[in-house]
Amino acid sequence: MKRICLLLLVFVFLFTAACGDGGENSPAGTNAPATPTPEPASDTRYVRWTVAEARTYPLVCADAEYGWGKLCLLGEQEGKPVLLYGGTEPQTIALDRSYALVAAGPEAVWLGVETALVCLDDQGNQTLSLTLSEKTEDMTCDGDGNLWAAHKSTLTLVRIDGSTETVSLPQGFTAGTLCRLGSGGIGVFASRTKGDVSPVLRLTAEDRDPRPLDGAEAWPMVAPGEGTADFYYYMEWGKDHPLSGGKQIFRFADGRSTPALDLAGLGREGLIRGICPDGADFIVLYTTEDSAGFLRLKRTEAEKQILTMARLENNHINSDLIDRFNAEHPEYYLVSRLYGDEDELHLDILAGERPDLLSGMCVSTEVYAAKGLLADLYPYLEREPELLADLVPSVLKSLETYGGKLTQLCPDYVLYTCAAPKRYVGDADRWTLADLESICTENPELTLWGPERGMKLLDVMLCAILEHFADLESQELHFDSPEFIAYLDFLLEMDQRAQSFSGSFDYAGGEILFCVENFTSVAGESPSAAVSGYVQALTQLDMDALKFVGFPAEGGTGCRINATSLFSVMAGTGNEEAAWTFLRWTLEESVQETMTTYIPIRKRVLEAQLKQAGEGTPETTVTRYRDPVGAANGTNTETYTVTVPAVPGLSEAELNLFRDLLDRAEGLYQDARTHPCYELIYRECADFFSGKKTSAETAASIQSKMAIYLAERG
Amino acid sequence: MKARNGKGAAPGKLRPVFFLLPSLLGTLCFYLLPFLIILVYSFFDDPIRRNYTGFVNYTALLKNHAFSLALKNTMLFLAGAVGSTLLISLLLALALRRLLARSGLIKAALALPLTVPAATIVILVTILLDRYGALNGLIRVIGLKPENWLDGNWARRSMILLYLWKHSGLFTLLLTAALETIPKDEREAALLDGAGKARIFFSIELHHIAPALLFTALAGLFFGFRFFREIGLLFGRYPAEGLYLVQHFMRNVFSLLDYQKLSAGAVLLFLLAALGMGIPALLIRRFGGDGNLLPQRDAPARRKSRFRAGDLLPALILLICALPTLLTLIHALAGEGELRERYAAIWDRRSLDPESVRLLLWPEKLTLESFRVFFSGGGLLRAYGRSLLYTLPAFAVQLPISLCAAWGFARLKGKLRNVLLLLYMILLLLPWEVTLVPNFLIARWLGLLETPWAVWLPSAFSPLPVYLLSKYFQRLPPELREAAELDGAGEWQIFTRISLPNIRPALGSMAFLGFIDLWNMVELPRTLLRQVSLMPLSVTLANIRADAPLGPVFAASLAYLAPPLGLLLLLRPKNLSDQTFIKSADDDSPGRESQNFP
Repeated sequence: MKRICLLLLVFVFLFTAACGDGGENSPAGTNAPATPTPEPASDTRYVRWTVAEARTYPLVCADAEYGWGKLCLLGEQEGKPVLLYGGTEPQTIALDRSYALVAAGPEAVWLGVETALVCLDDQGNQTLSLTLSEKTEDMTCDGDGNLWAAHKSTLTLVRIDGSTETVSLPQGFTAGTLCRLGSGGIGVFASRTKGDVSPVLRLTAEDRDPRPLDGAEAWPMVAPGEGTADFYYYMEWGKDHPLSGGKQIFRFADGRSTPALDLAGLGREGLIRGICPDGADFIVLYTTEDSAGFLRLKRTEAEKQILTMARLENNHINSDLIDRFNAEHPEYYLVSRLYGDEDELHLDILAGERPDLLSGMCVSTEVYAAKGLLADLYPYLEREPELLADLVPSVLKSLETYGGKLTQLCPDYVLYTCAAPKRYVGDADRWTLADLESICTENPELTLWGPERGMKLLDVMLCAILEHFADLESQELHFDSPEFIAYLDFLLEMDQRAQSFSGSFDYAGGEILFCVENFTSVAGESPSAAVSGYVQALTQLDMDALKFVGFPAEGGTGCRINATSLFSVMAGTGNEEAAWTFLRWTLEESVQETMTTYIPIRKRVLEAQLKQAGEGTPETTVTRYRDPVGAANGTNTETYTVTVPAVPGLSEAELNLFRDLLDRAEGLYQDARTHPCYELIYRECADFFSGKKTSAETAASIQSKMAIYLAERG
Repeated sequence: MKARNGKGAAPGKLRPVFFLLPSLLGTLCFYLLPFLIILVYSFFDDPIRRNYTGFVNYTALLKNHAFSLALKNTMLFLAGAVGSTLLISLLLALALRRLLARSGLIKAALALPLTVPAATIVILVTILLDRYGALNGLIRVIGLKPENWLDGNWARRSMILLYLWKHSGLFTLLLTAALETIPKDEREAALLDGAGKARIFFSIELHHIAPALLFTALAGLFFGFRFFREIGLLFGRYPAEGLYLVQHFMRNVFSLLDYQKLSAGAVLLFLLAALGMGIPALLIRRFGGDGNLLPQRDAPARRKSRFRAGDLLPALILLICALPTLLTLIHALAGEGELRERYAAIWDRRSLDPESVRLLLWPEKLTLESFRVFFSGGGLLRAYGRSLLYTLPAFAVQLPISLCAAWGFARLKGKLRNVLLLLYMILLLLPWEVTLVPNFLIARWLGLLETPWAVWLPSAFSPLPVYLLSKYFQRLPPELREAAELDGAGEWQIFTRISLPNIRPALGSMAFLGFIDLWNMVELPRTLLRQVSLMPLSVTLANIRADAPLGPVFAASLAYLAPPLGLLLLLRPKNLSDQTFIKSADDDSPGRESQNFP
């Protein structure tokens, strides 16, 4: 019995030790285990929000906070520093100097700039003045009225009586923004100098050992929570977070995918500077260029029609698109349902919880199409012949799945192709694996793609390999053939040539057989250095010496479409029409015109972009925030100017070449995430290129696994 | 028999049902009902369209090459793994029984491999058996040709060896316990008659331990199906052809939303299991066999407990059993840089011409950094807390429910008991993949999804401890109960005052196995809790990416070992009953068994 008691004691000890920091959802000081926070009585989701009260002040805002029923807006009015402070009728308090930061306490307000801190009472009288040893980056008050000031890697705790204490963060962390936590203490959005996840560290005046909050990531835009909800965060994509974008505000304690409320359809312009619950209402602090103000949001009776979109990605372009749709359609509320993997989605589908829409990125759409779970979109498009005629036909054709059904649609896309020197490919506009192999055999100094090695080369070849060595429909596989083994050996040899490549990226005259071109847009600004728009590509490539031949393909053109956003309407949900509303909206010309990052699917919009590309653009200068997040917070508004060089106009022949390439596009670009066969070959070849398997072993392994893969579908 | 049941037999017929009821209801809800749902699904084209198709799914499945391959491989794997482990364990039990009889600590060490989390095993196996792993490094040094131990023909053999390593200690303990029950006078008489050791073994000992062998084989099959965790983690969805098991098939067809194939496959598997289990179960009932994992008592010390030259074999075996734990400790004490650098050839696919790695036997610089990271309150520590949160309450509820149910089974007479017990056993053996969807549906219907209840409830009604404990209760001599009844004791009193104290050794075994089963849960939380922030450490470790820091993973693995290890050490002989409870096949004499009771 004693031993059993001892055992229980050990368990209790371990349990307590392990959960000591896990009680982030529980009141401060308790060590209760992390359990999901129950839904509040008033579910703020899925409802329309209306502005019950709006105040705008002619104020250039430096910082703003709302807490304990009081608004604190810090900024300049007519060139003089002021503080707006108070309830519904805030008083304007003239300040002796400019401050950058404000923190609302229960009975006081703190102002800060550089290393100086002052505390004002309810009447605006200064009660305390302090000078800290380091510059303050952000500050907030906890529920007990203590002020916390964040510096680069430390924090200062200023108690009500004015005494200060330095709190260090764990090694490897730098302090970011601070936020009062609903369950007590503060959250520090610490960024980690190494590692991928930056946690939110929790601190209280009593326990100054920073511990991460479970599951919290560094969401830069935060607001204190109420009750047991620690804090709210709102999704921020891109450079700013305008009100008109219909930003969704998430309760941290709820988890990942369901917003606490959305601001869709408020019809206000401005940047969100903060958000705070106030009873059943929400206060949203916002600024425009020369004013600052707040909105009190109240829920209205009319509920929105909920649409759900299953997503296995968290792509910000899709999120923005959903936000915009919500903003422009107050009658709908499109909610992202994020899934960790397809199994979770399958379970929901089998359990009858079918989403209305499916984001096709990272998903094997064919599985759903084969099961008849996806609606054919042609009947919807055929209702509007003009619209159908205005969509790029080759893209539509590429998106077709079973039996010529259009089960997916992308509002924009990337065009994938390959360019090869004419001295090797002549005037041919397509080539096969055999062509490629024979060119390399005849030219022993030639590399396939410069220094690009095994797996990347395989990426380029994978589609052709699958076409050449497998007939999935008739279930014939030839991966164990000598031809495939020889091909693997050839790839290995090319991998070795790439390893010793020391030449330049002279595609026209160098020792490189091809370069892969991802035309993300016609002329738009590239989202990353790895890809380029068509215009940029043409300025870099010597097209007199090069020819677009596509990826090696057995019979096809080798030009492919890579859909950056891919949506399907789920059949049998009863909400197909509403779901189509979303897809139809993405095809609106006004929406398509904003899609400058990738190539639009509407011909008219594309032609307009091509026309612009033909005209060229003059040199321009652009001013940007050095720290967009800091600028949004008001802590760092430093800007810099970049000069975008002039882009020469394209000739009609060059524009026609683009049109021709687009016409030749066939099939979607697939990768290991969306096609199980690719995943299978990819895995095996990874071992081959890392030397863990011989070509014969790899071939046998692929043949055997592909046979099982096909048999499973039999 | 009727006479022996004596007084109160007629009203007593209902009593076992009351004891069984909670477990039956739980099993019905969380185990049988899911199975019945898939039985229904197996006759429809798919769960979405729901068109009745009769036996089409079955005929299609029987013609499916992938399914036949998976079934064949599963049988071969189970036969190879369970068979070889049984044989080796028997040899070990025979070789070590004297040593084991006097050292509870060594017995506990033999159970150590069971406590190592699947994810840690996978990391260590990769380090050892990868193409560039430590074993091939050693082989290269000797001048032999390295092999792909985790691919091709070697994959299945490697996994059988891994199974052998993980379970042979447990099997050895079970069989040693059985060997301990053989009456010494029989062996001595045989020796006097001039019988050799082999003759004694085949004529006397094997006969006595046959039921325990069958019981161990059943436990082996149960662990064999559970072993898919390691195989799945190591090889992904498409392993080498020889390792493509039924679980792979089921998972993959689930990914294709071909749930009808999965359902039909599950029913066929159920029938096969019923057939496969029915025969051993009948044999067990015939022999009345059993086994006990944990040591029951220290044998009288014949000599001082210290190793001699002859103890080299046990020392070696103990080293093998404890090696992963030792390696986990050593790796947890090494710096992250050292670990990454040393094992770059395995995980860093960019390595151009990697040489085989050398196993880390002692860190260049001892550091507690991994422990500091683990205990500094990161995700691993919180996952550890959740492991305790899910395991302890489930364990606390599982124990009384299982005890009552097992007692109910022991008291239940007739074919109903046999049928129910067989059902429990088969439900126990069904892989989790089989009932994935129905379990999800039921949890959703009950509103348990993403709450700890989703884990607690099905775990509390696990058939495993019921099945194990029922065997022990069945061993109790009826005279005990009859005597108590004559003294006016009620059913509850007999259960709590007479029966429970007499199965305390078995309780220890069950507690350990039950705890391990709960502690290592992966599939249940992964399916029903869904959110990463709710996952226990067993899942968190299994989800660790290859590029994640290894040191904290090893530190977490070491901490993960602590609760089961603590349980194992606390359940050492001294706190258990001195009674040994394994009834031999021909030991039907009530007089002899009744000696065991106060």
